[in-house]
Formats: sequence, C-alpha cells, structure tokens
Amino acid sequence: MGNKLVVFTEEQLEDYQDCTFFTRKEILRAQKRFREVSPSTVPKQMTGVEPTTVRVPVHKLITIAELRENPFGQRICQVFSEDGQGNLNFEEFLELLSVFSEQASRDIKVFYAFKIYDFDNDQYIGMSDLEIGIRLLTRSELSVQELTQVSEKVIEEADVDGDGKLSFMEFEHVILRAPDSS
Amino acid sequence: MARVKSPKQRPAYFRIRNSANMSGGERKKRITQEQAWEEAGSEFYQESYPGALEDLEVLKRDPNHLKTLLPSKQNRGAATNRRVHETKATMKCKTRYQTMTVRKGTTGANAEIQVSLLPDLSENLANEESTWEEIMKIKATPIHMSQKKELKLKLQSAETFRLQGLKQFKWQRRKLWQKCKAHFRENQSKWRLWEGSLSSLEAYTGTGVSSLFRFTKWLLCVNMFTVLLMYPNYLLGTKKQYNSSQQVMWDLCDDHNDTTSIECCAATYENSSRWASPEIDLDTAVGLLTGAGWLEWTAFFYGTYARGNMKAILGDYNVSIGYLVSNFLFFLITFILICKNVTKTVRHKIMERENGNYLYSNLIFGGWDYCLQNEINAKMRQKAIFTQLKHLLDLELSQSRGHRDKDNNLRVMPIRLFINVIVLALLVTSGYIVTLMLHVTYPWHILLSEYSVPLTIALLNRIVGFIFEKITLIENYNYFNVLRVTALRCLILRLTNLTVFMFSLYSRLNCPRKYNECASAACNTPLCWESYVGQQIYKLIISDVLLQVFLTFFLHFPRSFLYKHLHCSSLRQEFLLFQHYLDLVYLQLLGFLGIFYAPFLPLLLCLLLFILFYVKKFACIYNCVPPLRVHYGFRCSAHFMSILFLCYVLSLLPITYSILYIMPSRSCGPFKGLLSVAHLIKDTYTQLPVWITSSITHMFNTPYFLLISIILLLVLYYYHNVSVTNREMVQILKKQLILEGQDKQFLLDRLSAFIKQQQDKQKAAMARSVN
Repeated sequence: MGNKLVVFTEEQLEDYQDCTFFTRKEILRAQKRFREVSPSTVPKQMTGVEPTTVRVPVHKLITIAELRENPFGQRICQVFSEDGQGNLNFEEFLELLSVFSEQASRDIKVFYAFKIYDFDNDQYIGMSDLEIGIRLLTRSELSVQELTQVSEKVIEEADVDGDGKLSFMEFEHVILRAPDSS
Repeated sequence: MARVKSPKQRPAYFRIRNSANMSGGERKKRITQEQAWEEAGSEFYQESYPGALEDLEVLKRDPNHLKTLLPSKQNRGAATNRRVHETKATMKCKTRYQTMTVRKGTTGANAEIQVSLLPDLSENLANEESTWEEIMKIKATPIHMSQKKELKLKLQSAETFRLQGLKQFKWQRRKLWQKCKAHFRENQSKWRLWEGSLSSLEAYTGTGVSSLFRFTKWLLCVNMFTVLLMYPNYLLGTKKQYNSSQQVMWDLCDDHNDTTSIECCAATYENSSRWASPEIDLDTAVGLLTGAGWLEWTAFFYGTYARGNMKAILGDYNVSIGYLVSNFLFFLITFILICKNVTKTVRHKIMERENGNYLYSNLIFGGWDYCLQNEINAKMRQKAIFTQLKHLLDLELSQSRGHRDKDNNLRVMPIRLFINVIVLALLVTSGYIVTLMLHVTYPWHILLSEYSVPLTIALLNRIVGFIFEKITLIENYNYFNVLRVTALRCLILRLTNLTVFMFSLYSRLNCPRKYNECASAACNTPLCWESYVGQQIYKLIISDVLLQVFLTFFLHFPRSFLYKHLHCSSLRQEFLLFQHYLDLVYLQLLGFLGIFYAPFLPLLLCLLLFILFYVKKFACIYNCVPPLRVHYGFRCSAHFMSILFLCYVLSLLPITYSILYIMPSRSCGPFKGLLSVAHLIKDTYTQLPVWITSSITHMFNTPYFLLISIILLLVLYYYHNVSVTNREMVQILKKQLILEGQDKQFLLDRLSAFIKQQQDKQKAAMARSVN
C-alpha cells in the first residue's frame, strides 16, 4: 500500500509496550488521538525525541472525549504532567491513558486517584482538598456550609488514625471497600 | 517554603550494611514475631531511616522538615503494589528491599518521590525469569515514564544478566508469548458479544445502568450453556418413530389388544393433537404462539421424548435417565454459578458491616463515572451526586433531631399502614382476577382463549406495579428506601400472580387417575399434562416479552416524544433500573420453572434476551431521561443476583413436588407408565453396582451419619469463633492505630519543640560570644 509511515521505532514501541498496559495498536491509536488534539504542533513521526519534547497545552488536552465531561479533567492532566501545570508530552499522555484503561491494575489506579484528589500535593487529602473536589464534582451547587459538612463527614468516615486528614493508606482502604472503582 | 532535598548525594540505589541503629536484640525480636507482622515489617522496614546525623543540620534550620521524613509520608504507592504481587517472591528469593531515591529536578507535584521496593540487582537476578518478571512489573509502578525506561534499561543491562544459548531462547519465547497475548487481547473485542453496544452505553449512561446489560449478557450465556447441555438428550432421545405414519402406531396398539396400554394411549394422544381435529385450524404462526400443533411435536416440549432405551452409537442410551440427569446437571450448574456471584455480595455486605458504611466517601470518591462521555448525562450525573449528597445531609439532620423524628414517625405510621393494607388488597385482587380469567373462555378465536390468562398476568404485573410506584411516593419514605420498597412490592406481586397461576394449574391437573387409564375419566385433563404445563409457561414468557416490546415502542416512545416537545412533568419517565432487572429475573424464573417440561426453553430465552437487550437499549437511550440517581452498578447487579437466587430456590419447589408425587402422564414423555418419577430414580438406584449402593447405605446409616454431622457442626462452630475473634481483633487494631497516630503527633511536637529550644540556645550562645 505504498510507503507506510513509521510513527515510532521498534525500540520505542517495545519500550512503551513494556512500560504501559497497552498493546501496539493501542499505542498507535493513542498517538493518533494525541495528534488530533493539536495537529499543528504534534508531528506524524515521532521517532526521535519528539515523544518527550513536544508538549500540548492543557486547554487543548481537556477537549478529548474522555476528559471533556470529567470535572477533574484539568486536575488529571496536572497530575500526569512533569511540571504540574498540565501540559503533557506524548509519554505522559500515554501514561494517562494507560492508567485509565481497563487493563491497568487496581493499585496503580488507586495511587493516581489519590494524587488526583490531593489538590495541594501534601501527600494527604485534607479538608481543603475535599472541599475543592466536592465543589468540582457538584458544580458548585452546594452551599459553603454543606460543603464543610460533607467534607467533615468524609473525613469522619475514612480517617482511622485520627489526624484529621486522609493518608494514602486510609484512602486505599476506602476505595478498596467501595463496590466499584472508576 | 524550604525545598526538601533528598538525603545527600547518594547513588540511585544504596544498600546499608552497617546497621548502626540496630542492635542484635532488636533483630532477634524481629525474627520471632508472627508471620503477618514480619511481612508488614519487611515491607515497611528500612534498615536505616533518612534523618541520620548529617541531616540534623537541615533540621535545625527547619523543624517542619522532620515531618516530611516520616516513613509513612513517603509515597507508599509502589509499596502497596508490590505487597499484593510479591508476598510469594518475598518468601522465595528473600529479596532485600531498599529504597531508591529519585531526585527530580522539578518543582511542583513530583518534588520527592521515593519508590520503595526495587530489587537489588546484584543479588538475585541471575536468571532471566526473575528479570522478566521485574520488567513486567514496571508497568504497575507509578513513576514517570522516563524513569520507567531508565529502570528497564538498568534491568536489562545489569552485569549478571547475560543472555546466552538456552536463556536467550527462553527470553525470546517469553517475548513471543507476550506478543501473542497482546494480539489476542486486541482482537478479543471483535468477537465478544455486544462489546460495542456495551461500551457505547457506558459512554452514554455510565456503568450503573450498563450493569443491567451485563446482567442480560450473563443470563444469555447461562441459557446458551444450558442449551448445549440439553442437546445430547435431544439428539438421542426424541423418538423418530413418531415421524412414521399413524398406521404403525395403531398397529402397535392393536398388537397388545388393550386400549389402555401405553402404546394405545400414546397413539390416541398423537391422533388428537398432532393430526389435529379439523375444528382447530392450527397453522404455523398460531402453532408457534400457542405451543400446540406442530411445536408440541418437536423436541421443544416434553411430549416427544421416548421412554426407555434408544439405540445410540456406543450402546443403549436410557432416555428417561438421561432426561433426569441433564435437568439435574442444569440445576446444579446454575446453582454453582449463581452462588459464585452471590458470595461476592455477601462478602461485601460483611465488610460493610465491619468497617462501617462509607456513604459519603463512596459518593465523593466513587461517585463520578469515568466512562461518561455524553454531555447531558455528565451534567445529570453531577446533579445526581448533588441530590444524593443533599439527601444524605437531610437524613443526618433528621436523625440528629431525635425526638422530633419520633413525632414524624407517629404521623407517618398510619399512612404507611394504610398504604400497606391497600397493597395487600391489590395483591389479593390481582390474584383473584387471574383465577377469574382461568374460568372464562373465549370461543371465538383460539389465540384469544389461549392467551387470555398469560396476557392478563403480564398486564396486571405492569399496571399494579405502576400503581405501586405512585403510591410509594405518598408514604414519605426517605430517598433511599423509596426504590427498595417499590422493588420489593413489585417482586411480591409477580410472585403472587405466578403462585396463583401455578396453584390453579395444579388444581386443574390434580384429578385422581387410575394407573391404567389414559387420562382421568373424572375431569377433562389433557392427555399429556406435562406438555400442557410447558405450553402454559411458554405462553407466559412470550406474552411478557411481547408486552414489554409493545409498551416500549407504543407507549413509552410516544410519551417521551411528547415530553420532549411539551415538557410536561407528568410525562417524564426515568429509566427505572429495578423494573428492568425485575423483568429479567422474572423471565429467568419462568425459565427455571419450565425447563423440566420444555427442555429447549433456554433456547427461547436466549433468543428473547437477545431481542430484549436491544429493546431495553432503545428504551434507555430514546425513551427515558437520564437518571437522577447515582446507581452503583455492582450493588444493583449483586442485589438482583441474590433475588435471582431466591427465585431459583423457589422454582425448585414445584419441580421437586411434581417429581415426587405427581403421576407422569401415560401417553407421552420419557416417564410414561410409571407411578411417579421418583420410582424411576429408586429403580435406577437399585440397579447401580453394589459397591455404590452399599457405601451410600453405610454412609447414611445412623452412626456414620451422626458422626459426619457432628464433625460438620464442630467445623462450623470453629469457623464461627474464628470470625468473631477476627472482628474483635479488627476493633483492637483500629484503636491501636488511633493511639499510634496520637503518639506520632505527640512525638513530632516534642521534637520540634526540642529543636527549637536548641536553636534558641545556639542563637543565645552566638549572641553572647559576639558581645
């Protein structure tokens, strides 16, 4: 069928296959999606250092189907980006999709979920983190008082060692008891 | 804010040999601890903690730095990963776990990530197998992609890792196998049933509603499996002789010179129903719908199965035994499948009971459905979460006002009592209507007379169900109980109608028949009552499904159409998950009831489930507005799985009764001429080899039986005690955790105070030395 465009080198594909939960086809599909987001900046071929150097800004990233309706879309991009601003290069994008795919193990999902909910990055989910999260989740329709009430309730339910915030262990405990994980 | 630096310029992975902080005694203590603690210890324990002497300088500058060095503060994400997968490896290779500090020269979220539990390369990875496993585990390590690549490179280029000869071959083989698996996985979605529909549904409504469709798929698989189970029986068991002309049958009858012999009865039956009497004009469609005529004479119904031995390739195949065995296997396998699914629910409920209900946390952390891609549904989902939160808060509020709630209760009680009485009355009425319809006949069209009762039952189910939905709103149940109560009532309604129907059938067929009669002389029972029962159930199933399809397309669709244009709130309809689940469970219940009398009923169910999937999908997407409730998929499907289990148990009752006590009909089926099916079982049992029968009799001999039951009871008692103790242990550990947390906080405070004190002293000393 003519000249087939080589998007990645074999070595790159092997590496990606080993480092994510994706198969070859899925990686190529991810590259296509990445390109669709910003066709001008993302090249068709990424055989060199493009996977690490080419970054797509966050406001374009959250237009993809999976993240568009997600209230945590921006936060997810921030978690996976290196600088915390949300601009992802291809490798980070691939990582994002891999963690949210079906084949990813539950533990890694829980780990990243914790990072997503930890808005101030202090390795704990505190009252402020919860309030921001709930506000995003319910589109700011709860009153301030109700927000505080709900955050208090969550901490009350999940906090075991009594320090007023949720550590990773406690968060994991809650999620693993939940009937279904995202 | 002081930027925390990783402890000095240590190499990427370090091994601490000199355990200066450890004494021999402590080590011994560690070794003598229990297994569980040791496992936890080996995971979390580090031979030396960061914060050694050289860091005290840093600490002096910033006491808060201390908090960041706590072991529990380091990201234990990787730790929990490894714990799940590697407890075996721990015991196997005795891998020493160390920490690898990865310094990221960036600001923000990833300033300090410590990835624990990377294996020490020089020790254990001499063989390629463990290297392979380690590489495979990279995927699950939550570190940045570039680090993962570095890690992989390191693992592959480690000094002791050389691929030669056989090892090279093994390595290549593993890679190939991996490729095959990936390829298989890629193509899996192509041949899996409904994969595309399910994923598009999930994108539209989220996983809660799509759990209904997965349940449909599961039921379909179970039924399809049953068809395979029944197939050998069909292949070998249906009498080919019936295809021959009538004359042969009458010849056989004449041979015996006895009008009530089995052959004569069979011939009479065939004459009356197959070579139909001219006043009943049974063409194909009518025959299909009523189950009479041509359909009755296929393997679909009980009637055509021969009795006794049939010639098969490997010898004689006893059709009667085969029939019984295949039915028994069906029930056994269904039991196992349902039980497997129900145990998940039970475990979850127990965990909920022990650990307390995580109402709010589940909502906040698990409420958002990451599959949702549709804009409107996403907004509705957010609204749903909001509504649910509000209701939870209201519930809290109303519960906290203790005595005020009691007043409320007193006010609500009479209303609820009244409504319950109405519900009961409705149930009784619907049962009565069913019995009425049974006695009315419509002579003008055969379809009408055949279908009057099943259609009535189906209609009643839906109309009264609808009434139940509406009246529950008056009762002032809280948000969460409304649906549960309505679902329960609808279920009871359907069961009631079915029970009434079954009883009426039974009373109709329960005329005493002498052993030698073809059919009871006293009342007009059909010659082949099992096929008759099968036909009734067949009609019930078809009428229910037809009604569903009709209502979806001709009632709900116009209604939703009007709603979209007129926006009248009374026309609004939500996709009531429990109603649809109930439909499926009811269908399957009918399948369970009917399988003994119509062995290929599961085939029909397969077909109908297939159709229903698309009908319900249509209803979900076009007829109904997105739900205002947060549906938890697992919880819904688990709940209805247990209801399915209940229905399964209930369906066993009529079948067992009919096997044990009711005389099989003399003119048809694999049991003709027997006093009861149980007699066949007894006869077969006596024909079994002696060693089996004697061992069974021995086992059920009183002393042995008593012994076995005592042992079982003891085992039960023991496990009960274990579970009670575990529960207590959990409480104790929880308290201990809380205390530890408080200890930690106390110590941290003291330490910072101490450091501050030291700082002040130093400053004072310096100030004095200057002066």
